[in-house]
Amino acid sequence: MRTRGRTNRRSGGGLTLNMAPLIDVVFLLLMYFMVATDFSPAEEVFRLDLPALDGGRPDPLEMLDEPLRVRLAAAGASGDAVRVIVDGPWDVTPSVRGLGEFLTESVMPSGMLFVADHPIIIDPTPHVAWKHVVDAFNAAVAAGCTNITLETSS
Amino acid sequence: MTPLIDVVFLLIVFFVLVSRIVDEDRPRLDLPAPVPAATLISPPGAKIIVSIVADGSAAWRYHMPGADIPADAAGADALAHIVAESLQRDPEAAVQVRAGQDTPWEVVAPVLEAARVAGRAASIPHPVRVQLATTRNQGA
Repeated sequence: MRTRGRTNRRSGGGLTLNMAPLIDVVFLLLMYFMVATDFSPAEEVFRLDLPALDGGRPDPLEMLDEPLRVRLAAAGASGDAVRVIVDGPWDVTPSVRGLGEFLTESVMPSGMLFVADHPIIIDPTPHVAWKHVVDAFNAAVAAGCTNITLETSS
Repeated sequence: MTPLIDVVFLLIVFFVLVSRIVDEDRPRLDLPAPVPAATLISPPGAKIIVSIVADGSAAWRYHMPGADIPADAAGADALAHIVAESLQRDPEAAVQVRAGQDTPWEVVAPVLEAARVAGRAASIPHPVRVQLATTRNQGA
């Protein structure tokens, strides 16, 4: 490079553009943006508070209201589907969508059956897939419920 | 000037890579993607991340940074112990549960129970903060 530059200067060839550092910088910028880009799908969360004191579970007698228990059971030939059962005298379509509709129509302010912090316990059977548990949790959160827990003991 | 810019960019790339490697000890999982999602962006703060990973056809294991525990009764006890130690160090830390869509509830429930037991063992003054990891559906 130096030799060529001297040669150019000697021969009066004017300025030359050295391409190598430019390409270096371009590649470094490319690497920087590739590393900075997050190619994995964005993760989000549901928040859930698990009572840890006094034996680990809330005392049902201390609850002002009877909790609404939502049971999830594996259904379908392969057990991949889910059947949703809401305890009590409620007429609920046994699906996650039905649960969502029931809660939306029942929970204040759109409904009059339950306040938003009415305790809701989601109680899946052992073989229910996690996606169905999350779907039921999502339906309750979307309906405005704020006091949802998962039954881990059964 | 150019070599100086080179070195600066190399240092930036190096530190970005190192921070990602330190943070990325979490297996890729097919997380649930509820639609329409009522989820939250993960709040900032310390997290104790527990991933539930398929280990063969019917076996599962609990993965934490630096620990792989079989998903059985003894494993759940060991998990509770590790989580309790972490909560003693930082009582404000949240336990983030990462499980794939088809993970059966019987494998996930012991993790939540372990978090509850750990909170009691660590005597934290509030309920154990749990985060259920999901992924944002790109079409939603």
